[in-house]
Amino acid sequence: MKPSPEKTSDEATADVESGTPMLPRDPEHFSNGESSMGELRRLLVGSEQVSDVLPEAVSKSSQKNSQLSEATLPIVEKNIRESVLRNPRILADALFPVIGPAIRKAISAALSSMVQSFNQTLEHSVSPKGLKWRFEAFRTGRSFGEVVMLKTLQYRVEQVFLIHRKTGLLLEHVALDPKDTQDADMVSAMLTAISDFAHDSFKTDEDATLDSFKISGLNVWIEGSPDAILAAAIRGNPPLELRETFSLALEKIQYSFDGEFDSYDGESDTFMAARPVLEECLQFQAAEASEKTGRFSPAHLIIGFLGVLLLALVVYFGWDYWRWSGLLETVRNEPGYTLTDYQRGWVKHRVSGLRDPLAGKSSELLSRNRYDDGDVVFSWREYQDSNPQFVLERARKTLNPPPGVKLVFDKGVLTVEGTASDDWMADAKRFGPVITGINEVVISENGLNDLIARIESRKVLFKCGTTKISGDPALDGVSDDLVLLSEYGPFELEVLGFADRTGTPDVNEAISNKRAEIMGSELRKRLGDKAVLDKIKITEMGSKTTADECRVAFKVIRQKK
Amino acid sequence: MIQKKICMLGATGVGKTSLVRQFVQSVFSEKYHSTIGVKVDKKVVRLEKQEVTMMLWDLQGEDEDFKIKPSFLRGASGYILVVDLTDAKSLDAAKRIQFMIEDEVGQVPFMVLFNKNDLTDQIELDHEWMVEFAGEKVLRSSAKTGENVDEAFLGLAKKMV
Repeated sequence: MKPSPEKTSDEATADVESGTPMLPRDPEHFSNGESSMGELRRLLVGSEQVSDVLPEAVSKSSQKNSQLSEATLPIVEKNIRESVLRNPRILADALFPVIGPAIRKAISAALSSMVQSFNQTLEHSVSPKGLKWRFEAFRTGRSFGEVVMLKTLQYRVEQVFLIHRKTGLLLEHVALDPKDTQDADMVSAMLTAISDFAHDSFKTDEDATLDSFKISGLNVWIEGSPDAILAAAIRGNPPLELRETFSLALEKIQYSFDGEFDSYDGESDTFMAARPVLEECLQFQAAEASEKTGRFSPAHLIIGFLGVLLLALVVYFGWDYWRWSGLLETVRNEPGYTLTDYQRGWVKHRVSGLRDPLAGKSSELLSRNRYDDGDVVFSWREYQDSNPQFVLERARKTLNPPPGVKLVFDKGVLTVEGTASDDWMADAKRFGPVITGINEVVISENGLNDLIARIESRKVLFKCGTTKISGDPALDGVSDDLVLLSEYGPFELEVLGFADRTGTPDVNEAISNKRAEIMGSELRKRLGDKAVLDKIKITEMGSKTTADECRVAFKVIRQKK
Repeated sequence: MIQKKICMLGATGVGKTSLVRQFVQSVFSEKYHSTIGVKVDKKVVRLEKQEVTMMLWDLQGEDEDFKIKPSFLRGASGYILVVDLTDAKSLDAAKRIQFMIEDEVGQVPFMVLFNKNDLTDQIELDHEWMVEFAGEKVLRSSAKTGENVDEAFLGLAKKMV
């Protein structure tokens, strides 16, 4: 250190008075060779007084202006660089307590962001809203994650440009996504051009700048200072408070780089120091909270209720349509019914048509199709169905045939089979054709005669010399024919036992009687139905004559009515 | 890296946009598209000592109905004045523009390009007129053939740094 050549001796004296080390008033005091220099050195370096006042001097200098820090900055930088070159471990150990937590914090923030993003994507991936967003992503060609982000974001500052106001050149640029940085200088220039164009076109104040503009979902907010413009590209709906953030950032930059702005000649590296300030402007706010509160809003509940109601109505009407179609089909196919008209109502349905009195009850048609009685109103008009089943039933009710008479209807012809009184037969012939569907009545005994002849031609064999039935299947035929015969009854059936010629007459007679009894018992057992036995009276007797075979035979005798 | 703002100036239809396209993209199109307002392009050039990012402000050409907006010129480190060799009137426009730009940004490096030199049978301006206008800063150019295009821009870049 040496005295400033510009300083006068008076100024040097003033320094002494203010407490700085005492220096000789007369500069000539140093002109006497080495002894003087040695004295000066002793005063400056060796004196304890210097060490006492140096900290205070440094403190005062820092408060006064930044000259001392500017002067020492290159020395400090150089010393740090040299220290790292010599032994990096010293500085690394010194910085470790700071770097460790900083790295942990950065990693934690990155992980938190990633987990939040993952949760958000997962939550919205399978919900109805998520499906809607997937469709939007497909339609717009964006990734699903990007759509989720855009939909759940209130706002996000994507890029911030620091622009030199005078030239429009880009001073610094920060972006959330590094891919967005490639044409930042072009964007910067065009922003300035647009701002200049607006300024010229609308003749605004000299200092006025374009305030903002919006394109699709992107807002561009612009803040101006005397030397710089800060432009921020914001996705979503930013709050007005964000403007204050930008404004404060720009003020800070304007203040910090005042000198650099004045001397700016296109060299922008100086403004890299403004990056931390710009990065603070890259803010974002998710809108997840508001979405959650809206999830169970009354409107949603009403819409949900209406949706369930609509679904229930659809299901009910679908089911009702299904059973209604079934009912109509049943009525169309049911014998004794003819459908002429129908009307499907919201609550009750109506069916009109014709109904034969002999047909089944209409309530059965309803129950078959899961309707209650009150669900469908029937309106029937009576008619006589020409279906053979109904014609025959109608003939039975009208003619009231006596026992032993069987009615058969086919193609308009009613055939009366069996035996009846002559009066009844005459009435049947007279009144039959009056019945709807019957054109002619035919009296026929052929069927009964054939049946009697068949029964009488049957024989059941026994083992010769015994009273055991040989197992002839003819026995089954006899019992079946007797059931048919009972419909024409009453009759008497004689069971005749026969013996062959090998034995004595007495023995043969006894065997014949026994065989008739056994056969009668067997038939009674088989015709266990009392109604049949009431009409078929079975009598057994042994034949006094012999035959070629060991057997029984049958004879049908008509009984008088 | 250093950045410089360069303005492309001249009458309408003299070939400013074609010169920029030839310099930036090395392409030329016969189709004429009139520039509305301004279009900004960028080209990074490597000079001996450093790289320079040239921000090229291609301004709408001046004619009877449209005058160049001074605010577009503000902060320009240099400019290229383009004259159409086949249109003598474009020289008058260029002179007017130069007065305006010197008034707006002062004395800054510039180049004058007498463009469309490939249309030899239509040239209306002779060499003396060119020298009278800007002395040694004059180049004959052709955006179509690329003649003197790179030389003009690189020459201006050297003057600016």
